[in-house]
Amino acid sequence: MKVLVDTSTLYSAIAFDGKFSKLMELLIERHTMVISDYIIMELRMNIEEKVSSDEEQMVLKRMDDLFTYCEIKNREDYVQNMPEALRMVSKKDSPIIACAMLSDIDALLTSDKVLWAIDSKYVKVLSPADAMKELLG
Amino acid sequence: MAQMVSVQIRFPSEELARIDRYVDNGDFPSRAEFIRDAVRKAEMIRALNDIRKVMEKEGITEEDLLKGGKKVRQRIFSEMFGDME
Repeated sequence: MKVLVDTSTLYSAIAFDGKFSKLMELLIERHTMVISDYIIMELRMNIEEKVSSDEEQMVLKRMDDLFTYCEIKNREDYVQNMPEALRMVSKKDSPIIACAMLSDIDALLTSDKVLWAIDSKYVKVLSPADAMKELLG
Repeated sequence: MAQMVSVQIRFPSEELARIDRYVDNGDFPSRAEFIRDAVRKAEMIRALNDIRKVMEKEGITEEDLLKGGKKVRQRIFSEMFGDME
């Protein structure tokens, strides 16, 4: 499966050594992890604000290493879905949904409960608990 | 595409037989592709673990990142999709 991973799940995976990190490992080992330029920017800016300057470069470098092996979608790939996405969710979440609507993406993995309510005819949304079951299958 | 360099690797015969089964099943086009895939996945997991260690050392929690993410996302939307506001 090709799974777009939202930042909410990535935050849990990098800051919480529990079921989320196992979920991420499962995704890496058995499926294709997809992220977008929007997700990368959010993650980078947030990490730059939180991590001390001593560790910042190392963390950003390892983040780039992680993303090297992910499939990355850019604005031009999903911008055509933005008007429809804007009708479904708030502005700030719309680029995530627009990207998840791409025909080659099988599902969106997110911990954001607001996004779980999206109609599955547009986007298949997996909570971490759903993903554990589905990705193991 | 990155330059490819040849290396010779020795494997225990049982491990090689397992790799060959994946190749015979059509999961991988060759032994080399199986090994490249395994290296890529191991590197992703190592990168994830290295980031996690720093977060733990710096006392940065999931909640800190989630809170910060909401504010940052608003800013990035304006930067990338300002024409749609």
